[in-house]
Amino acid sequence: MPTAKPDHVGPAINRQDSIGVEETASSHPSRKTLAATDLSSGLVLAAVALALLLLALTLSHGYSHDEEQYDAAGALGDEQSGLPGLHLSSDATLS
Amino acid sequence: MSSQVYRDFIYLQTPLYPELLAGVFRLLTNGSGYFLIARLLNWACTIATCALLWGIGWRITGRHVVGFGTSLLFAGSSLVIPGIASTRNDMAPCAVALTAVTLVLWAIQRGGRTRGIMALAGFCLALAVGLKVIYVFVPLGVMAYVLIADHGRQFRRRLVEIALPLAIGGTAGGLILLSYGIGAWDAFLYENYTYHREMPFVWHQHIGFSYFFEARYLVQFLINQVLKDTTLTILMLMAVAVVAMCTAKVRLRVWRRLRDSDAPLVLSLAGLALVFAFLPRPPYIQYFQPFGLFLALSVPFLFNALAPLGQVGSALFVGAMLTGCLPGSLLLLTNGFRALDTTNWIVTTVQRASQDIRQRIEARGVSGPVLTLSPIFALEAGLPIYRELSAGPFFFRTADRLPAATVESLKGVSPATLDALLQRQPPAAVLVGNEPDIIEQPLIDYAQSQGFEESTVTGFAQLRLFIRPKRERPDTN
Repeated sequence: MPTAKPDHVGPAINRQDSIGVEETASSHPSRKTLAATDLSSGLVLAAVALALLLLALTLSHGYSHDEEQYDAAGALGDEQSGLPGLHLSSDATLS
Repeated sequence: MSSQVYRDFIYLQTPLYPELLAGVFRLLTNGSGYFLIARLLNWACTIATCALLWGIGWRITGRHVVGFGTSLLFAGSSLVIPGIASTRNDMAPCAVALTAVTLVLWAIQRGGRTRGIMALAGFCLALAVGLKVIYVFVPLGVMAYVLIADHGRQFRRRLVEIALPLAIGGTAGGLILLSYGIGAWDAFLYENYTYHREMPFVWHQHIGFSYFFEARYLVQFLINQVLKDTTLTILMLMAVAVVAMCTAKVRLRVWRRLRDSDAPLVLSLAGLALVFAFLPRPPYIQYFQPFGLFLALSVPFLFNALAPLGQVGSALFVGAMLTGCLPGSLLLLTNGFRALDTTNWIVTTVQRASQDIRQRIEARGVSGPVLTLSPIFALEAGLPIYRELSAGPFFFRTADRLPAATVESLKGVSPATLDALLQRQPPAAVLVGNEPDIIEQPLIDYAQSQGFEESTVTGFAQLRLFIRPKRERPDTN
């Protein structure tokens, strides 16, 4: 038992030391930490760039006749469109 | 929806996508701007798919770089790009199907209580099929996998905790789809099944594309459009990985890692997607998009499994990512620079043309629907169209093959029945030019026979707008 105490104390002191080392590390980040941070920032930037490039593609790429029926069916379902007197729900377009 | 697909107007696909669009239109538009909103919805679905791929890649390998690379392999794939730059029903089912697969992977790996997650996954799978019927291979593959694969559970437990909730969720979603047939079963069946079984072949034979069904054409199509950039790179990576695995004698370890990460599910879905892409019909690139999705999804699983190869595996994947992503990334970058000039955006150009059409019709002081096989322009302008032509050219061009009574019951119109429709309700204008004359000639003939005056449309040189002349009011004195 008497020998157990110092053994127990030893690691406690070491833990304090390790805390000290951690504190030093946080004020001067290691190269590995810096590299990880750079990578994370780079990935975030790359993700934003990808999202913007996809948006540019979506808005600017040419139009195909394949798209017609999807928009038309969605708009007919919505039924908000129409000039006064020309509304879709008029007899004009009911079969 | 205040009007219901199949019952009130013709639509040649599964019912959920127009329902989704109608809901979004109702929230975000006020009678125009549909094209922009539909494209933005497509973009949102693309981003959601990329985010899910990133998340799965990160969860499987513990590396964000692999997650991002997986997203890039998907977004830059020549199988996927045509779907991103469109308002077609490509990206929405893709996002929903991937959500379902993510839920399944989560539930299987999670252990414990999985019934709720699997029921939700089943519901999402039904929605994916409802958005695009080709995704029917996903529930089939998932159900087979959860029944066959061990997952550390006995068969009875797998049945009760995984397969049954999946089936219940799927049935609930399926009932929503079937509800669209109420009051219009014949149209529901014809427009979802019979039309697609017959008419694409009829049309392609009619325009002389009989070689669509020859092996030589299929091989050409595969080489020119499918086996390109990302797809080719991933397939080559798989081949090299198999060789490396056998050479380094780590086959058993690799197989164990594959099995533990549910890679067989993802790889079998990729295989099924390829089989379904080859179902007998004229091949188009959009049918191969699900293959592109599950091929990209298989990359992090392969990366994880090849860990026993050490640095060789990592080097293999870095090389594959760079070569696979490069062509698509360059295309996106080129397009990105071009998109800096907002006046050239297609959504802006279509909007400008639509306003031009509206102003020209208003200036003439005539009223009535716009007779056209390109309804986007009229709808963008807030002008009414004929519901019978809401499917654009796709029903109209082969409708003469059907009896007139069938055409009417499907809420459609054929070249033969067009005159009767126009006599009942004359158009204010006729808009043509986006389709070949072989399809649009009846519309042009009508406009010319009625003395409509022809003009051009801003930004679209090929479009021809015919406007009805304003008749003098008869003298009633």
